[in-house]
Amino acid sequence: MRVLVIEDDDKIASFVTNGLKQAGFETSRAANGADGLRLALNDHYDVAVVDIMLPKLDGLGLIEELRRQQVNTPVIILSAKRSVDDRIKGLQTGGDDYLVKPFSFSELLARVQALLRRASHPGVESARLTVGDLSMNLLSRDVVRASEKLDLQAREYALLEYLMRNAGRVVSKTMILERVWGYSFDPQTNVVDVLVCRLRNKVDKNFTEKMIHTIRGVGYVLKKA
Amino acid sequence: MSLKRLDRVRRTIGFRLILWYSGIFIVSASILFVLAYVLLSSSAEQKNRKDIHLKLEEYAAQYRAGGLEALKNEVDLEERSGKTASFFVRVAGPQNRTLFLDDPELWAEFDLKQLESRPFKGNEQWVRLPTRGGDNTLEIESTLLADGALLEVGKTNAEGQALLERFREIFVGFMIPVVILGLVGGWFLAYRALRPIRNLVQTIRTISTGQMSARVPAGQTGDELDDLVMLFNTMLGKIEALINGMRGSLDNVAHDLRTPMMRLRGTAEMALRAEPDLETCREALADCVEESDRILTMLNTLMDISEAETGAMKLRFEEVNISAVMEDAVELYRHVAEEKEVALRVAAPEEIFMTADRNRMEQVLANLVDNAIKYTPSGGRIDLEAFRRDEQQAVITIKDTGIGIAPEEAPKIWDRLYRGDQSRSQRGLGLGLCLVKAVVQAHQGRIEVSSEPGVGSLFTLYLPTSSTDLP
Repeated sequence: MRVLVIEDDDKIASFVTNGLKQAGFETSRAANGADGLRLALNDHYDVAVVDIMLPKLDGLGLIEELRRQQVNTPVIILSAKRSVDDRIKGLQTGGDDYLVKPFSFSELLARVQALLRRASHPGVESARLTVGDLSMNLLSRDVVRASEKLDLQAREYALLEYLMRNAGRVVSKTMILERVWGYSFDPQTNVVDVLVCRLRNKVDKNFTEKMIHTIRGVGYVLKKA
Repeated sequence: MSLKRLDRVRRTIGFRLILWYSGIFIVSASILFVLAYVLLSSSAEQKNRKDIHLKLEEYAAQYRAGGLEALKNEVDLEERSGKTASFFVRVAGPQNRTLFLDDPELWAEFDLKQLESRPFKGNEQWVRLPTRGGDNTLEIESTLLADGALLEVGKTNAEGQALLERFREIFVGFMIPVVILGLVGGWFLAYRALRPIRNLVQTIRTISTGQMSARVPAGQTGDELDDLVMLFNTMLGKIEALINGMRGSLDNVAHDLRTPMMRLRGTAEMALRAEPDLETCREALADCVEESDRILTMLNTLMDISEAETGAMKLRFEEVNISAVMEDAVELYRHVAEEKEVALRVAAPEEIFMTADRNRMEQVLANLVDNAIKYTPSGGRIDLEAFRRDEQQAVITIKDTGIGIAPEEAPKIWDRLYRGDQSRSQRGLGLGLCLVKAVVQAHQGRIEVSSEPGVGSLFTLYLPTSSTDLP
């Protein structure tokens, strides 16, 4: 899997490319918009991560040009602007996702993987999610761990589904807040902690092998026990 | 240099106004004069001719009564008495030969030969004889007498010319002050009319040097320029408020961020000074990430507050069912409330629609619920209610059975980073209520609190339901 990173700030670029390499991706980096466009047009990439403020050609112009030339590489926009208007503008130009700086690397990684998933199996979805001895029937909404049925409330179910879909990957609190409640701002009390804690009580309490792990400062991950 | 300056003066509105004003003034005065002159000169000529005609008839009557002798006697008599201005009198026989010419020296300057050489005919014909110098004209009328002789009577127009001459002199003497008056009047008018503009220019210059408080002095006339000045001053007021607000909030943001930045730095520094140990380092790094997340949240919240307070917040207005937003906020905190054993309930009609920014309203209600849960001990309850007070207003109340707010603290809870004595132990930024108030006010609403320590608090939101007075 190849990711093109177009970012002029060296520190951010190396933090993104190193992280992606560790996650098993092959990466190329361009430091300005013109080089980035040339790479994207002449080579195949599975995902492009594009900063908006770039020298020579800005990110939006670059995406516009790519789309005009029928290059449909999924694009994640990185931007320091957080207003809803900017977000909409980025997505309307042809971006597939929008991430506001400063962002956490796990969030970027999760979004890259989500885009790849969307690109590789469009529309095909299994009716069952399975991670280790934990399985979830998406139709009957039954959740079973080691043949023991778990009784989950709606939000707990939503959170578990999200964690299972991203099994092995760290998801941040912001992402959970957005997915599970549809809220895009930070409530002051950590409602995510509370929900994760409740879910943990149901999923892990009666088992010696724990599945839900907290990665401090980053988020949560669900892994095979 | 001076040419340039002259050119600049030439381009000014003031200069053009003066030119136009004095130009119109002078042209009008000249037209009036020309009209008067034409009228005067034609009436002088008419009077002259009337005199001549009367005299001609008089003399013709004398001639008919007593012949040439009687006419001569009459002319002599009149000349001696000197009671009338002298008339030119000539009697000509057949072939236009002069039979009688009264006092020929008097008319020496006219070319009388012309009279003899012209064809001898008709009645009451006017002849004009110019002097040799061309100053005056002798006007002559003639009539055929019964015996075939021709009687001619004439008079110079010197009287009328003298009058017109005097008139011209007066005009010249009159035009000099008229021109001066035109220029002075034009200058005065231009000066008066352009005074508000000059004030405006002066004020803008003052502001360009950084004095934002300068205002254009307002006139009392209530005319269009006064309106302009008033609008301009209002605009300056708004800009100044905005700039001061921005400046103030920038100071506040910078100040408010120093403490968490210090914590971040401190954590990193402590880890660096400690013995190299992987676990300690990881712990410190995790602290750093959490701290920087907190700084980011704080920065975003502070920006939101500043934008809402200065009116720069972009609100995306849409029809929002506020009851649904309340349900969502309660849903967000349901588990938190359960964990804390606090009952959290909503009582609202199914639909209360209002024009608002949905995200911001979610944030307002979430912050208020968050606040209520924080300060309500186990076993307590929180009730959210909503109703339409009238066509224009919706009311939302959030009532808790929490620790309450001391009366002296009540006004301060809306302040930035204010945290009551009892709330210091709670986790939070101290920005929640400040943001709530700013967003509510940006929606043209208001929020009130009443509280009794130890019993609970009641927050009441008044929100307009229609967007008529919203930007």
